[in-house]
Parts: sequence; C-alpha cells; structure tokens
Amino acid sequence: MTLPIILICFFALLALSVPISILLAATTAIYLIFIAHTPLISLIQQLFNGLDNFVLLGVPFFILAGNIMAEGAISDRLVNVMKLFVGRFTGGLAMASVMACMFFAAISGSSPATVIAIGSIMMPALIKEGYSERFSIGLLTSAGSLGILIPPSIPMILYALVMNVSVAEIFMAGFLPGIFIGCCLMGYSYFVSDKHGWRSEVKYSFRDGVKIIKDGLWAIFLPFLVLGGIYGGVFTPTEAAAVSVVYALFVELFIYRELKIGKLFVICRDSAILSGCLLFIISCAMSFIWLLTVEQIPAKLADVIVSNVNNKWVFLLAINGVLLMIGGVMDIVTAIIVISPMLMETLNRYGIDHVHYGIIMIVNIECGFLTPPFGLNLFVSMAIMKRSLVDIGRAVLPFILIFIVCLLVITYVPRLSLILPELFLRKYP
Amino acid sequence: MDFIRKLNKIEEGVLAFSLLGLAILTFVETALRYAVSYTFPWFGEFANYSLIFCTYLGASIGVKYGTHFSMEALTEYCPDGTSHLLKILAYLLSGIIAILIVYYGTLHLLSLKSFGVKSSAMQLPMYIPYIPIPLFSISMAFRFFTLSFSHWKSYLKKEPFERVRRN
Repeated sequence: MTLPIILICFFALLALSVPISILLAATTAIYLIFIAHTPLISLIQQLFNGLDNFVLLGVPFFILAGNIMAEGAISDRLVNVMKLFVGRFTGGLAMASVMACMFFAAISGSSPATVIAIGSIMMPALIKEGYSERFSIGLLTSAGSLGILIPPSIPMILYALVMNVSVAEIFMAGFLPGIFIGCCLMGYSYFVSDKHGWRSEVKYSFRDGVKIIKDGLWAIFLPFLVLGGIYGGVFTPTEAAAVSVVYALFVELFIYRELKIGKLFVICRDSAILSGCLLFIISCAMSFIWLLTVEQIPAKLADVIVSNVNNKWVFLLAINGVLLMIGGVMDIVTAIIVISPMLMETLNRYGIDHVHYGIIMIVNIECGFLTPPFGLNLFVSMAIMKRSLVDIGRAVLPFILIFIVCLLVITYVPRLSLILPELFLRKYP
Repeated sequence: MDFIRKLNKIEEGVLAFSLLGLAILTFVETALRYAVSYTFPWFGEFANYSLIFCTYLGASIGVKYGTHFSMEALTEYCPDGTSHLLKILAYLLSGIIAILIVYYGTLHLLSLKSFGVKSSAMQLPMYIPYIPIPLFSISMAFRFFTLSFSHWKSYLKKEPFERVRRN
C-alpha cells in the first residue's frame, strides 16, 4: 500500500509545478506522518545530514569559479590561443570554438557557464567570418554542454553523492567521452564548413603567436593545476574547486584587471543563490532517498524491471529513451538525482558499473540541456544571442542528433568511460 | 516595506560574502596543509555548517528570483486562468511545507539544546548549526505565500500567465 501512496503524492505535486525540492520534502513528510507514524523531527535530521558533507562544498565553489571566468577575460585569452592553433584550417574558427569549449570545460564544471564564456565571444566572430547564423548558434549552444562531461563537473559531484561513488573516479571517466564528443563536433564542423567554403585567411606572424601564448598562459595553466592537483593527490576535488576560485579571482583582478568589484558582488550573489537552490534539492533528495531505502523501493523496482527486461542493453536503451523524454518536461539534473538512486539495485543486478552509468547520465543531461522547452543551454543562448527559443531550438537540432549518436556509443562501449579509472585509480589484486 | 527591502539587501550581502569567504578560507586551509602540514582542527565542521547556512539562505532568496526548478509541463500548456490556479495551489502547499519545517525544526533545535549535545571537533552546541534550517524557512514560507498571492491577484485581473516558451 505504501508505494502507490508515495507515487500518487509525488506525481500530483510534480504536475502542480511545486518546486522539486519542496516536492521531495513533502513526499517524505507525508510518508512519515501517515504511514510510518513517526514525528517529523526525523525529516529535519535528514535535511541536515544530507548537507553535512564536505564533498558538496565543491558545488558552490565550482559554480562561482565558472561564473568569474565566464564574465572575466580568461575565456577571451583561451579563445585566442585556440584560434592560433586551428584557425587557419577549413572551418578553423568553428573548430577553435569547440576546442575552447573543451578547454573551458576542463576548468569549469558547468554547461551554462561554458556557453556564456565561449558563446558570447565566438558568436559575433563566427558570423563576421561568414559562418551561417544557424550553424553558429547550434554549435556554440551544444559545444558548451561539454562543460559537464569533461572534469571538473557539478552534476558529477551530485551524482557521486547520491550514488555513493568516488568523485575522482567519475571525473576521470568523463575525459575520453568528452574528447570523443568534442571530436565528433569538430568533424561535423569541418564537414559543414567544407561544403560551404567557410575558411579564414588570417595569418599569424611568429611574434603574434608568442604574444598570444604568453597572454593566454594564465588561462591554460588552470586545468593542469586543478586536475593535476586532484590526481597528483595534492588536494581533494572540493579543495580543487576552492583553489580555482582563488586562482580565477587572482588572475582576473590582478593580471588581466578587467573584472569590476561591483560585478564581483553580483557574480557571488547569483552563484550563491543558484547553488543554494541546487543544494536545497540535494538536502531534500537525501531525505527522500532515505525513505526509498527504508521502504526497500529500489529492490522492489529491480524485481519488476529485471523480470520484465531480459538484458541490460535493452534496459539502458529504455533508460536513455525515457530520460530524453523527461528532458522535454523538466530540469534534467534534478530528474537524474531522483531517478538514479531508485535504480541502484537494478544496476547491481544487471552488473552495470555505477561510474559508467554515471557517465551515461551526464551525457543524457547534456542532451536534456539542449532539448526545448526546458533546456538550460537554450535559455542562456537566448539571452546572449538575442534570438527566440524557437530559432535556437531549430539551430540546435542537428547537434542533438550528434549527441544522441554519441550517447549510444558511450552507452554500448563501457570501455570508453572505464578505461582511464581502471588504469589509474582502481587497483585489482 | 522599507524595512523588508533593507533586510533583503543585507541578506544578499551576507550570502555573497559568506560564499566568497568560505572559498578563500578553504584555499588557505589547503595551502597551509600542503606547505607546512598544518590543518585547522575545526575546519571541516565549520565548512560543512557554513554550507548549510549558505544553502538555506540561498534557497530562501532563490524563491524571490524564481531560481527553484519545477516541472512546468502543465502550467506551460494550460489556459492562463488554470495555470494561475495551479501556481496558487503549488506555492500555497510549498509555503505550508516550509512552515512545517519551521515548526519541527524549532522543536528539534530545542530538544538538542536541552540535551546539551556538542559537536565533536568545535565543541559547539549542536543546536547552533541547525538554526539556519527553521530560520530561513520562515522567509522562504513568507516568499512562497507572497508568490501565491500575486498569482491570485493576476488570476482575478485575468492577466496572462508568464510562460517559458514566450519571448
């Protein structure tokens, strides 16, 4: 009797458009009062315990660092360096955009920040070089979503927390899939540019090249500091996030000197509000997950799924399909935070690696960020490119297809995600 | 109203600076540990409790800015009046849940206080880190009710419902 009541409450509140965080707390509260007959004080304890975790501190720090760099000059310098390397080829500027997104992804953990950082600089540049507007919008909006696949990554931290896997491991697992998708985007850019004859005539002298690299050195050094620090055992992912905040502040305030103090206040406030809302969901989700475990819902769900779906590949295909649809009706990150723990037991029975599953989820989030009407990247693009949601949705369409193909490859080739963590982090006897 | 506006400004200032401060403190702690192998014994606890403070404060302000995620499929495609009604109900329920958190949070706080439980590293009375949960849920409830009321007014005036798809 318990499961139907929980499900009815959950979906009724969801349909009403109650904020997801409140919905999770409410469902837990209803369960405690009417089914478990326990005082609600235990809900408060769960809300507290859900946040009492040092790993979570990485979330606001990575949001803050990403926003500082997106508003400041670091992204600008990064783009110049990438242009220097691949700008002269056919479709060079488009490929430079993708590379800049990949590089920015390696210093920030958020997709929207990557779109703001690279998109707002590259959009006018691409159009000036003669690239079509539709292609430019689509490319920048979708390449920005690499921000969460190439480590560091905020959704990965949240996933690692709810699924109890190591942050360092899932970060490392994102590398190759991220580079793979980046290469696919670059290949597509080359193909389209070749067809339309988009190429740049800009030549750099040796002296220009040296100056650009010298100027961009501060930006280029950051991923090596952050990721090198994590995998070199110098600091934890959370500390790495704090280091990148201070580094970004230092570079923007004292080296490039383009960030205003007033702007900094707005960045801090907005980052803190966003992370407050995100972590409030986590706080409530942890209490909901606790309820799921107490009621053994993941195990019951696993019984149903495993007896009806006979192999894991069909299951994974179905999950991908369902998540693509969910991405069309709600914010995909929250959906995954809620759904993944429910499927924990099912994953175990099929023998699906939680880290590999996590990477599949992250690529699903990327697709969700691009599907209208609730894709986060689309809103960001709407704001910086001054186009309607319909225009941007249309521009992104071919890129969504690329992402879906990549998603299938990543789903069915677990080695792509798991080879790095297996080589470097997992020790077998 | 002037008082509330001032309070809002203070809230936002405190939030912005505590996040930045916490990031800098974490950096200093990491640098000290790496350079001179010294760690603040209180740091882990302090950081976690500050995170709880920032989260609840941020979540409360987030209601005002509409930062909370929700599933908008129904409100997006229903007629204006129905969407307003759905939102009125949704925010009313959210406000009630926030009030439940205030009530039971305070009860829990008082019981922790009477037991005299202390945290392991800082020896801080355990009820203190719990304070942000009921405290900021008060302003959160207030903001949810305000939103509910403003949708009620729009419903009566038959104003159009603001959708994501427009623009």
